[in-house]
Amino acid sequence: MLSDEELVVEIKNGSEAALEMIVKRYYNQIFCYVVRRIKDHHYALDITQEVFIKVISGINSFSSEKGKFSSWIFKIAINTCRNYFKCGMYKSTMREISICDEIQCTSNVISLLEKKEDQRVILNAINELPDFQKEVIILKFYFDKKFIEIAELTESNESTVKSRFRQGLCKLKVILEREGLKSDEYNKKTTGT
Amino acid sequence: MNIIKKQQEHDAIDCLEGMEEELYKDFSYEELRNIICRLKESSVKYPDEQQLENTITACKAYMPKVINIKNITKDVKLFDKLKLILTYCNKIYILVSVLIYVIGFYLTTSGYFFGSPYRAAMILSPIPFIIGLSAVFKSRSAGMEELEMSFKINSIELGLIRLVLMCIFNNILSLILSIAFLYTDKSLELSKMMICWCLPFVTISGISLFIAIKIKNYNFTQFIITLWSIFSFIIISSEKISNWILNLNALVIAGIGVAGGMLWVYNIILIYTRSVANEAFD
Amino acid sequence: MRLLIENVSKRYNDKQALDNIFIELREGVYGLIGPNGSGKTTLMRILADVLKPTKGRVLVNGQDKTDMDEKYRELLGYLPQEMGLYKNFTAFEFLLYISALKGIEKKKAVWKAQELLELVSLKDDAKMQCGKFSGGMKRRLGIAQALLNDPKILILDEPTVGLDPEEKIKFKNTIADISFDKIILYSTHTISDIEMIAKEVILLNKGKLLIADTGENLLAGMDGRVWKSKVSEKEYANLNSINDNGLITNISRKKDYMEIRIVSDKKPFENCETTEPSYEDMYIHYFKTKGGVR
Repeated sequence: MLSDEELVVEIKNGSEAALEMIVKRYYNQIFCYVVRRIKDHHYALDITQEVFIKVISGINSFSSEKGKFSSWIFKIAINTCRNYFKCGMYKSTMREISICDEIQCTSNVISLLEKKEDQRVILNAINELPDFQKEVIILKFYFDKKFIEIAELTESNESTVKSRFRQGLCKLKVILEREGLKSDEYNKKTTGT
Repeated sequence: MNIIKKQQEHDAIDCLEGMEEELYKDFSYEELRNIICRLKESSVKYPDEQQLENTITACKAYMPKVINIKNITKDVKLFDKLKLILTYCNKIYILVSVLIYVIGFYLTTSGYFFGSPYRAAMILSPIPFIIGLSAVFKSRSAGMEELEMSFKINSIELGLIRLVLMCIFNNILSLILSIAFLYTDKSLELSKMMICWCLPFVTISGISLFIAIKIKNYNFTQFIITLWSIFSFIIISSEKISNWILNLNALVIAGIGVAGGMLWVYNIILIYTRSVANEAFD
Repeated sequence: MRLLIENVSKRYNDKQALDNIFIELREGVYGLIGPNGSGKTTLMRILADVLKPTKGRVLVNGQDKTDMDEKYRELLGYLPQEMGLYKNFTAFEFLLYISALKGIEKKKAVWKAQELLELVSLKDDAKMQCGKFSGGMKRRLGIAQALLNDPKILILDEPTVGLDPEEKIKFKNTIADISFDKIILYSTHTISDIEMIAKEVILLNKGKLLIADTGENLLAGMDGRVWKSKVSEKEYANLNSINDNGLITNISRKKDYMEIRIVSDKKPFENCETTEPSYEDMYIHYFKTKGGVR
């Protein structure tokens, strides 16, 4: 299997097959980031496409001396999402993210619905966070990035990232409590299955 | 199932990279763990295959063209610079210069004007250069000078090459004119002819260039030509002056020639350092 | 790439246009802000190889640009504040001419010129003579010529002057898109231009470097220094009686009161509350702290 950097070289030489491979490799990841970041499923599709278009348009400017391809593509995704908000493109009436129907546990229908509802609350809660905190929370919990990696991707420093992280978590706690999801209730639900 | 879940809950805190201490100021262990587990549990639906294909299709339009942008600029030789100047030189200028000489030749040989070929050579010699001066400073009058200085091919170098080319062109025309005169009138002397066009050329072109560099208004060509026309008229009308010039002492001639040459060198230094030090942009 | 402006000074006969400027630039957009006469254009001209500094030097990855000579200019794209055009050229011919001066081969020049005319929305006017262009069109053509040689160092002196709002947004998006592998130095008087796209802001005043930092940090530094208040007309007229530390950055007339915004290290008067600082506040704070607006 070819590495990212090898695929980039092929794309620079005009290989469409390499283009397909790299898009397939990163599409879901980038989509997951974008959709959590901007909440709207349909806009997320458009933005994900825009990210890849930017990647391919700018592919000649990428070289492996600059760092990993995965960091580069993430940076583009992060910046594109930031621009999306700044350009005021998003509309106030947005469609909800589709909650994943494939829930692993084999619980009964009621608890399935409860779980779905919980997830909706979580996703909305994240969406309420200010942008910089949202970015850090998403990159930490859904992409398992270390703080130092997040600092590089968001072009800030590690202490700023940690402070945003802390503030984000505090705010989430407040939002979740407001939504009636007390932190200790989580235990009761999970142990019930 | 429960064991796995408990393991996951326990692992949840591991992602905090040692920040727990700080976070315990705001959260209890339970709260922290539970928020994190809740967050991690939420998942989103991946788009379907069709969306992926659409993106791939869209991206294909942006695939890089295989011309390597890095090699877009090439090493530029003198030949390329000459080619550049010749491509962009004003063809009308060449035509007008030649026409002036042809007319001058005709007027002299038919006796209508100028009086003698020597005078004709004297008067005509600096004209193409003066006309061409406006081309050399074209970029300044068009407001392009600042920009052109930032280009790979140095605009100062180009300007200097243009000046040299103009001098060569001018002198070739004068030489052809002289030969033509000599052909029509065997009594003429080549050396005298050459003095007649070299001396005025070196001095007048040197002075014109000096003025052009010093003053900021670069549409002064008309002004200089007017001045030179008046001066020429004086020479034509006064046989005394033209004879005096023709009979100058060799030493004096050499002196004037050297002075003219030095003025030229000074001009070139001025062009180079002035543009570089850039008083023009004060 | 690392572009180091190392202790650069520029002196004209009796005027110190730049005084000991030390900045390091890497890929990304840098906003250069300062009032007229602060030295912005002088600095840009030095970087564009149009002027030589009186002292100091400019290094590209450790190499002095004077030694690099034309290799340095190969990396440059420059858009001066005032730029003329050759009136008799069409837009396309103009770009080809510039390409020749930039040492670009004819075939590549043709392709690049077409691509860029499309980018700056001048594709339909490619055969029009430059002399007939409007101000906005000339500016866009200027932007196109700066990008011909795919420069690694892009110097833009007030690039959006004369562009309408839509053109401005398009231009800023283009810059943001291409900034990944370029050092872009962008000077402007319009603070909001910088806000959207600059990774770092450089403030110059009277030839000296005031500060260079990310917009975020500069705004964070303004925390607690920006106040807003609702006052009546009468109260506003009486504001002269309060201490002199405050500078009013914005006045908004509402139906029966006025909303004012003040930059001040301490609370200017009662009935004020702190508010989130903006770039305008920051500009006023840095450039008008002495004898400021009242």
